[in-house]
Amino acid sequence: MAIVSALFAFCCLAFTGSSAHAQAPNIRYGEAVPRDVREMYDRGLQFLASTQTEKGDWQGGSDQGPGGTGLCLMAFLASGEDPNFGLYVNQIRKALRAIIRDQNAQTGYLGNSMYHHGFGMLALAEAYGVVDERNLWPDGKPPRSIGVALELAVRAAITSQKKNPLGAWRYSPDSNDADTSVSGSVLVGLLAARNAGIEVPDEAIDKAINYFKQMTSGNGQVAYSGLGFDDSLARVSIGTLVYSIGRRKDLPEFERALGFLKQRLEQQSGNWAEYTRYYQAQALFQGDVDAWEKWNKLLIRQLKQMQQQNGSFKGSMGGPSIDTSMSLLALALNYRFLPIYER
Amino acid sequence: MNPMIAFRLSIALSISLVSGFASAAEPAAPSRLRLRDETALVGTIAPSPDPKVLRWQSPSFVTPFEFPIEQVNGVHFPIAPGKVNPQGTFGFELAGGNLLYGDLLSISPTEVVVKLASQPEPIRIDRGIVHRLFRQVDDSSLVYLGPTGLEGWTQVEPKEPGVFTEETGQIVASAEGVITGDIKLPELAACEIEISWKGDADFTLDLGGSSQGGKGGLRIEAVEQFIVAVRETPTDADLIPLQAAPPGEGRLRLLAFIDQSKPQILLFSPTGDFLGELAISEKTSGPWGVRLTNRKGTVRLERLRISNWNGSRPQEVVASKSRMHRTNGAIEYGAIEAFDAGEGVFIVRGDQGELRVPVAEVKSVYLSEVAPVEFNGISVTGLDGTRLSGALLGIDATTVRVQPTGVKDPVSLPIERIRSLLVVGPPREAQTPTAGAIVGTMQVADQFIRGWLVDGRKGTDIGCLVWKPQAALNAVALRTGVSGRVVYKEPPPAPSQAELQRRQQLQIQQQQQQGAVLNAGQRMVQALAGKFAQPGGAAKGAAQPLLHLRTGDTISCKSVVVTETGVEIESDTTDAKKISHERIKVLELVPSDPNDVKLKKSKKERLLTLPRIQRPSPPTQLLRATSGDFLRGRVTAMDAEKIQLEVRLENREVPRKLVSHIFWLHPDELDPKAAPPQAVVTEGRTRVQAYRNDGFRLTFDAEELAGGTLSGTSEILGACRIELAKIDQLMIGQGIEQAVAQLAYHRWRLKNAVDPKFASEGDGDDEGGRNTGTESNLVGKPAPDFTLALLDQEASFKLSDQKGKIVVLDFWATWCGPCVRAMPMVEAAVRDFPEDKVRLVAVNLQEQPKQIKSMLERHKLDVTVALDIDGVVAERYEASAIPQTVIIDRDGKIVRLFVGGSNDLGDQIKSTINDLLGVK
Repeated sequence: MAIVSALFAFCCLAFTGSSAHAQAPNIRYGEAVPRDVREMYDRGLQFLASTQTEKGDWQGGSDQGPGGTGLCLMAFLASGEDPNFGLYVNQIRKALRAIIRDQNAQTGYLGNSMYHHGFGMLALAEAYGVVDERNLWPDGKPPRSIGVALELAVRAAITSQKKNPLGAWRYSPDSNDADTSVSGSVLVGLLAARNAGIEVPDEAIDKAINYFKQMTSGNGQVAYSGLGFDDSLARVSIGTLVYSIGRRKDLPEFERALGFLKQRLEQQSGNWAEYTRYYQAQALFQGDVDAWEKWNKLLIRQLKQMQQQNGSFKGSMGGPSIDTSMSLLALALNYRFLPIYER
Repeated sequence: MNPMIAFRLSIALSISLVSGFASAAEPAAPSRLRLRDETALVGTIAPSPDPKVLRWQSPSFVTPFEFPIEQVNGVHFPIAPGKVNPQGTFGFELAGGNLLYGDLLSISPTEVVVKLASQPEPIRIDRGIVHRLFRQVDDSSLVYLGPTGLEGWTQVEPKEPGVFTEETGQIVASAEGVITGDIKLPELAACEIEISWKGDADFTLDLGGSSQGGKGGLRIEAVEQFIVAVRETPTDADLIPLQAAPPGEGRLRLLAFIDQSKPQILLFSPTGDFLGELAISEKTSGPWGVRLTNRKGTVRLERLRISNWNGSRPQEVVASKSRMHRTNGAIEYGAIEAFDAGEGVFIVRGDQGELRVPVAEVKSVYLSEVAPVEFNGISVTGLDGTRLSGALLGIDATTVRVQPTGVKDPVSLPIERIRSLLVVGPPREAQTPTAGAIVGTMQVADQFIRGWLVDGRKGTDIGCLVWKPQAALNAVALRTGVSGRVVYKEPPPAPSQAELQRRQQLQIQQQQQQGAVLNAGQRMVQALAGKFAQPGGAAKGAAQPLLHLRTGDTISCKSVVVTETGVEIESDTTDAKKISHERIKVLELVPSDPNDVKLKKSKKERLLTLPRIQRPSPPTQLLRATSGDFLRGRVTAMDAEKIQLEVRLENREVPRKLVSHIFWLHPDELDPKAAPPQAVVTEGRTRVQAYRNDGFRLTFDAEELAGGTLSGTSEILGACRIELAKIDQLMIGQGIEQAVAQLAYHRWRLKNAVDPKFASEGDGDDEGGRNTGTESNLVGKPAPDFTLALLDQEASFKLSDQKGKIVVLDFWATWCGPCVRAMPMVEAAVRDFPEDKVRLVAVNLQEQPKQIKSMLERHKLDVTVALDIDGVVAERYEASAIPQTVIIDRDGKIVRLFVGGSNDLGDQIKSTINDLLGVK
């Protein structure tokens, strides 16, 4: 039920105000990162650095595993600090080692869910070619290189997809059904791997994109599993993102999903807010930089209020490391250092 | 009544059979002290060994005040819950209305010796002042004894509460009003009334006739400086004058015996003098209740005791003779010679010789007729009905010691059993203020104290505000953290035109003086002299922008710019250069009277309502254009030429010259329950705001008062000094925010839009949460008629033309998701019924046809849409939340009104229509 008074649009105004037409930003590299973002980001990284275990992962949340570790790893990689000589080199190496150690050497499966697999694969892809592997393993005996680990992970994802009648993914690699949330994480991981130079068959990408097309409604909403549409900004963002980085902006589904997001720049997600922001940031940036710039102002304001004294973000994702890493990665579009953020 | 035969009546018994009911009042209620100069303090009596001085510890002050006893009007103690029973076998009525409870030890020709429960030593009472002894028996006939506060009483006039208040259980009114008591008089009632007044007595106390505006029962009324008893029926009236009531203070004590069946009303004085009978036999209907009306002055219902009466006219006795009343009703006249405590017998010598009467057979004993006694000193009333008047001997932590008149030994009364302590006797002149003192009233924590501030300096634990009550011997520092105000001069009525002109001239003079190099304090004082000489604080015609802080302070700015972090100013009145956003309320770029910045209530409400979608990032400013238009957004910068702001995440630029006001909208104002942001922790600080009735305000932390000048520091303005002689009020602590919140500009605050109820989300099992369609007040009433244009049709829709058909109205809008979801359900539910029997009309709220058509096409809906362009029909159907579906029967009556679009809405509509059509 809607309350009329709640929805009165603010109107009226006869000001002769005009939109500011600033010079188009340098989209590739961005403009100077606002101080607020730098400070927030640094404090957030310090929190992650201080809470990383010796093993290289993060404890105390429901997200423990290569996916959660991967998100934290990406937060470090996205900061712009040199991954081989910079401030967080140890954290980056430890996290990478933890992901690789957690991988099943035979199947390439990362962790215990395709969520972990997707985010872990994405993190490996973002580190591949960036992190100097010569100093990655202190004993000089790596179980496998980042490239091999990534390739194994890609094969695992494709094997799982092949077994899946919907051509997508669900929590278990052997599932017969799929959802857009898990599928988004795996597909983005695959796209990142492909960008990193790993061979990913077009067929796999096309099948997955096709799944998303089927799950996108006429007004741009993206269903979860089955065909129930709702206002989930997270899933609409995932859809927009996979169409964008899958190089399928030609699809009407992309336009519709992006349009849906652009019409709701001020809308807040009631659930999974950090997860939503993580995808929303990328989707808007990839879809429409002007819209992202507007939304990004709101994001910075909100996160400023939400950041805790210790640099973490308290959210709804089940643990401070995942809440923090996802919040930082939403902000990281201001830096644009991760390859996956390239347009 | 023949004055020669002074019959006293045994009914005088009843007046003293008082076992007090206490109760109702909060146990933790503080004691109250009232002084002769209207000063009222709460707190506790501090030990006062000097009987000439009462020491009083108010919780708002650091140490006790010392008041000469003559300046004290009385102390009212809190009434503990529950009944407080008298302690002792006998009650002893003494001269002057005094009453004691205790055990009788002996009676001799010269004294009566009594053992009180409150002290180990017996007391000796001069026999000559003992009027009567009565044995305590259970008084089961009692119907009401009070009042004990306002519980059970209802103020019926005026509608705004607060005219009648309770003071230590008594009901008091100083303004016009009516209050009724939830008391039903028994058909045969004995009533004791004690009522007092101050000023021109103009009140009415009605016993009976509560449902008839007081007529028909017993009315005690003040009429032209006389108190009379009246009974008035539609055809007849009778009146008995009771006593004179010249202007000033007065008190009436009266006994009334009422027999409603006859009706008969007999009136007696408390000593038993028959005052008369109201002789009207005409009966009146309706329950007999109690009603107190005040028209002028102050009236106080002190005591009302109502008990069942056996209907027999009180037995007449020879009041001048000593006598004994036996429990069997017999009266033994004779001298009461002695009391044998060992055997428990009274020895009476009458005409028949000596009688020995066991205590068990004694109801009461009249020793002598006592003369009225006048005395000065104090009068103490106990919770059990004890009354003692006499000289105060001293007060310690737990006890008040009194030397009652005619009692040879001091009496100690435990404070916990005392209801009130009143000082009797002429007042002493209050002290005259010392030279330079400015007299005002300190109002803190429900206390009103006439007096003045004396020099003081902030210490480690105490503030610099030291208050000298005009009635006190000493001055005491106000605790830090206390909130309140000192009123020197109440706000005057609106100034006359001539006064406004005078102020304008003064302002011009002040402007001419600008430019002189003054320190901040001097400039503030100068500002007081006229810079803010307009009502509401704005200097009309002044070209300089005015910055209003959330504290209520106003700064005239020579230049002002807005940055991301605050407002940067240059001002003649302060050295402050930068003020952060959270301290600002309004920037008047074009100064005006705050009361002139008006907007229609509904528009203002809309303008200041924050939709849910914007809650995480509310607008921080509201711009008002010189044209009267408004714009909400976030101001990011303002210079001399332009204002940059973000509106719905879009960057905008507005020429500064088009803007008259910028209101700051603070997120903390959204939640009314949250503490005001500026209500900073006042512990350890004495935050004050100098206020003048012309609207000037200066807020700072007071540090010193010397020579009539209060000085301190403002976080914003720096050093501040203010002459008390030039201000009208001094706000203290949180009272500042409370007062400021009421200012015209400060009422511009955002509020959250009402949250939707999500009525559709019920699980269906919980009938209580289900929308049954019958909750609205409109159900069962005739449907308001209307005529609306139809979308894409030339014909219009008139409801009254549909008589004979069932009409379903679906109130909706395209922007309302739940409406769009519900509409197919409603349409499907109605589609199954023949068109000539059921008609569905979707009433669209205030939208354009193009918008509506596009939505209908998109959702492939085919419904008749009526255009409620101005929202009037929605208003008539109280559609404040949509979707709203209204079902109107064939006679034009509303039978169901559903709010929301629950999953079973379609079924509910179908079922209702089936019922209306008589389909099984």
